[in-house]
Amino acid sequence: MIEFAPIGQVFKNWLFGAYSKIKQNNLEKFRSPIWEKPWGYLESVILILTFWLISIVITWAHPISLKSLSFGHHLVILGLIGLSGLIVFLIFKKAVWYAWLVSLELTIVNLLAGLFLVFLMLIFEQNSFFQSAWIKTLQLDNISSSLYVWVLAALVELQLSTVIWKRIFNFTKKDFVFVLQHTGILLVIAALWLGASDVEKHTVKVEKTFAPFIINRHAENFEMVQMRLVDFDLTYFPPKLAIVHVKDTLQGIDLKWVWSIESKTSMRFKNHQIEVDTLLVPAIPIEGNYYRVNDLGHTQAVRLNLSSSQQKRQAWVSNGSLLYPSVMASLDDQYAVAMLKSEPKTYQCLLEIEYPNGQIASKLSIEVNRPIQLGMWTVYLTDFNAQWGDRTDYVMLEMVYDPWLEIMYIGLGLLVIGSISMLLWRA
Amino acid sequence: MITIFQITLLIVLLFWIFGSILFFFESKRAWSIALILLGQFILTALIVIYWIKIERPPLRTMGETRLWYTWFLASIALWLYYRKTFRYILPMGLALALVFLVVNLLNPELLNKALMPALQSVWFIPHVIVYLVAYALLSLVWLMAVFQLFKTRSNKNQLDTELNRILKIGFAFLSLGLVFGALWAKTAWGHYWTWDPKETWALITWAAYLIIIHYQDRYQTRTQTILWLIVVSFVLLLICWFGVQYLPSAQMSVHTYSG
Repeated sequence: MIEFAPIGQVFKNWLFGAYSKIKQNNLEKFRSPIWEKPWGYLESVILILTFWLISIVITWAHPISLKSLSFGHHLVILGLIGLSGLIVFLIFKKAVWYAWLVSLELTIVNLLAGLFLVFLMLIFEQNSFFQSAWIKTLQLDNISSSLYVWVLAALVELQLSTVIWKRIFNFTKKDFVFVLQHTGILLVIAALWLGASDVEKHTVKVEKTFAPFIINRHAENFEMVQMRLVDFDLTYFPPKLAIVHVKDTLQGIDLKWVWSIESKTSMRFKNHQIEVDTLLVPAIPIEGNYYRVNDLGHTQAVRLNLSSSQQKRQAWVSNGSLLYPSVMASLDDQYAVAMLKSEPKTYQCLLEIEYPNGQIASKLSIEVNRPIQLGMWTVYLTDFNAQWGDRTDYVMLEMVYDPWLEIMYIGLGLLVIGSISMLLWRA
Repeated sequence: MITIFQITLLIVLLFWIFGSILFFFESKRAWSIALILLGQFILTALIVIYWIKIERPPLRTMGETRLWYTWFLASIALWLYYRKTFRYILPMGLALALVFLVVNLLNPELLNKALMPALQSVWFIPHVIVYLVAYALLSLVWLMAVFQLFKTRSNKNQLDTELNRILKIGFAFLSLGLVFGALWAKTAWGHYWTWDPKETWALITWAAYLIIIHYQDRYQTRTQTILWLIVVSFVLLLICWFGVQYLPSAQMSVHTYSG
């Protein structure tokens, strides 16, 4: 007959530790070897899989939205995580599960679990409308917002908080880098995990006519403005020329025969000498010739001096635009010189804001890598109508509201200081 | 059509090959170091002149990053040689650097001044440089790990101290690269992270080295496992650097300019 230990005794020992007492009472014989002290990889895997299984069942049975909590609630959760770590360290430091919580084995299993989720994100297309029902039910199409990521993040945060307190209470000089890096990671994960539902992002299209945008929101009150695109400034890098195969266009362009007009004005290809005579930017074609004109749909053109053993001649080459076709200069029946599309060098837009009282604010200029603040939003310039170039009829803006910005920067700052300290320490 | 760029690389290549051969003759060691330093000096001059010529930091294309990687690899190998802890890292590091020089010789770069607007950021140089230093350091860690794995007389129960030190320095640079990239992405597009294939593989690589750091802190005597983990993690690093561009999803990547 199998003997069972008193369940209350087992639970008490598990919760508050005192393995020595377990040993004295000879209770180990009632425990499966897998759960013997100290818990290792297998126990960590089983526990995390159990948490995930419960999360999946909850998600499947009754989907819960984790987006209903506010930024304030999330800050309280972050505070509770910090406090929980302290309580766990002070009260439960002799418990079996405490040893597991601060163990290397759990850290590695957590990292592997995170990597597994990343691989799932590579397999299942995220935020796609075209996923099957079971993928959506299991939230595999939105893994970063799923309950099982929430559970894993909560466990990692509790672990980080506990190990940080453990090091702080037993602080030596060696723990400096550890505390900095782990506090940094705790804050970064908190900003990504809890902040995911607080951060608002909107991609908006601003055209040349006024359209309404909400720039501030306080409870039920909205501050709305009208916004329109006034001007757009675009500069290009000098165009490049390339030798292309005219008969077999599938051959593509050999990078050996691509050159920038700016750095190289002549090129020798087989028995052909190619020299740049005149570059026109912007240009439009009129009866076979190109002229420097800045007009709608303008293009870029270059006049080449082409010479071979048989002849010398001039020819125009253009990369074309929405209105004008591209033009190549043939060298022989196999090869021609073509002009590649120029790459944008800089672009910036000028926006006009009209407030409800009719007042028009000074114009706002936005450039790539230089976002501006508009009400509660940080506004980024991300795109424009490339076919229309500097005469674009719209710009695409990314409007981001991120209350976790400061916390994220503190976390990243601690990580950077920790990494630099690690460098100095090790080097 | 052989360019001055290729001829210069060829000269560096020859200096380093002869320098590495002479290294194995104890009496010619001074000559060996002189040749290697001369090659490094020429490579430095090439990078500086190339930088001036293209009017932007030469850190955009795959060929340009290979050039810097080669420079860092040789510099760090020289530094390790002078620390006198593991002298054979110099010819080993140079052998790896030579592979990348040959790749650059076979795939010459255009004089391309173009730098897309998103790359015109204060984060461009620190982000790429820090990553390339990390790649060079972790490549040397990989070489040392392979050396220790197959060295018959090595102490099987103790990780080489220098390897451990370089691993941690390399990981610190890898962390800095990841953080700088996130900060740059926030400034350019408003998002720290977009799960772009390159970013995803960078995270996988970072996590793999993080596992090694934690594992070796606890199980210092399980040397063989740690060495094999280093070998596997280096494969992940190579996928992150080169392999990602061959993935179908990479066509939509914001990192396609690096190809």
